[in-house]
Amino acid sequence: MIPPAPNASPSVTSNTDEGSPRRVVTFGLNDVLLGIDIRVVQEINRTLDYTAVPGSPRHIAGVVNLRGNVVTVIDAHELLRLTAPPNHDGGHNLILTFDGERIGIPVEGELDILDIDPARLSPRPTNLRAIDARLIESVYLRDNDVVILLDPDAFLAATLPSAESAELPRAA
Amino acid sequence: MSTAATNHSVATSKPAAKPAAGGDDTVRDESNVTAMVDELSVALEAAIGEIHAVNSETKVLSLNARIEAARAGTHGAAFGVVAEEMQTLSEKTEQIASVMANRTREKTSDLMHLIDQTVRGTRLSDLALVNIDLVDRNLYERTCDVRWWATDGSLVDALTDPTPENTAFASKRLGVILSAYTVYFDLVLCDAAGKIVANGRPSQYDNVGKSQASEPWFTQAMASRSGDEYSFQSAHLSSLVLGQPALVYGAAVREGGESNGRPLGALGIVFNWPGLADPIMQHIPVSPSEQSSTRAYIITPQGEVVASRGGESVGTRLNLPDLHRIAGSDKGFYVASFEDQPWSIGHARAPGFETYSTGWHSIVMQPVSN
Repeated sequence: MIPPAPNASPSVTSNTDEGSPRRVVTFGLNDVLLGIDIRVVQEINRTLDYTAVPGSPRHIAGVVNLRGNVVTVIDAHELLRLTAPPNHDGGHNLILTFDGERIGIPVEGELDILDIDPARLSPRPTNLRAIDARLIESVYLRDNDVVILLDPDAFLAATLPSAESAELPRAA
Repeated sequence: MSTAATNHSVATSKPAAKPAAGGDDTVRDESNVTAMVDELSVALEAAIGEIHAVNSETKVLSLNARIEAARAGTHGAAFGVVAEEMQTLSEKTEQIASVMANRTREKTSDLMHLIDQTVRGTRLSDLALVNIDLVDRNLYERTCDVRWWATDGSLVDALTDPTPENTAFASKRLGVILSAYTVYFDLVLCDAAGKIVANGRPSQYDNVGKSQASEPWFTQAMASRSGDEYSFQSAHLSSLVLGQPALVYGAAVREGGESNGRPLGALGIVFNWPGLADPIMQHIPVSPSEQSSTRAYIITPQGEVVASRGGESVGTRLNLPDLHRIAGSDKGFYVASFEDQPWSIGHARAPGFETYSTGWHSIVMQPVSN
């Protein structure tokens, strides 16, 4: 029916057949249910003790050494312009990996893995005020809720230090 | 027939010092049970909490296994199935743990509620027993009084030879007794026809000349077989004492004052029932906050009010639900709906004292919140 969003990241989704199921990792951020392609997820980790980096953009919470690899911990609430819950300790970290670049996102809520029927994907709505629309690849409608699928490349680009000043490189 | 002594001599066995001690033991046991239920509940909650924590770990582990499987592509497919199965199992365990947690909480709360009710019910039935025990012990003395006063020479003389001097002397003797025994309204002496020939307080109660021929206390006393027997007329509004609630005990006055003598007439002693019952009904040892909501009654086995805390008049029928449970039991409690709310109803049958028991039932009840 409705094809995946046209601006879906080519590096991740180009090798996916239009009709074959996709697998995403879902997680909660401030009551918003988000999902990201499983292939950019390295692992799920308990809350990490990260080190703050002076002078870094506001959406960079700090860095952490994960088994010898440096992981940049992102404040996804800041990045996605969601209000952070008063206390979001005790959750987990989603560790994403992009060609050796590792990003950690502290998340709340239930983590799960979801097999998505592409037929039920909708293009990103233009009036979704809660999250910067440019980071959204598509929206997955379920019986009782919706999962907002993040565009991995756009998300990575947004985390780059330059993103703070230049805003997002690709305007919608 | 009269012979209240034989009619009511059933429940004379238990001494009345027991209920109070028994009540204390019960309360101690209950609080132990409460503590044990508490401990059990805490232990179960902790165990369930640990199960939740382990499940959460297992789930993350299985998610990571599935992420790893996805990375391995087709080679990881079989591993992915195992990982998925692992997640399903952990979700099932989670469900079981949650159901168990809910049931535990529900049952613990039910149990606590039951213990609360048992503690309260036991206490109320203890109070009910104390009330009726006081009544039995006191009224036992009345059955003794009437039997020995009926042998008084002045009464025998007044009935054998009813001259004005003899009846005046009998009246004087009855007055002397009354000045010492303050629990009576009046004492009346009837001839064999039931006509009052002398009383103890003629200035207060104009009873001489009145007929008691059809009063139960008189007919039963005249029908008694020996001086060991007495008659009893239960709580009623007595015309002898200006309509005040009274109990009347009677005994035949016999020829020569002998136990087996021919009945010449009868002595009736009119007991001040509110003087005994009201303090018992009003001074029930419950906390100040419970005073106004606590109700108490003494009833006959047929359910007629003999005394009440709330002022229901003597002889009224008490409309409590399941009244047969009270009549059929020595002591106990139950919860029943009355006047649109649940009540804990503690009750006790008269335990009897020496050879005597009123056979009445005592009730102490309180509203309970659900």
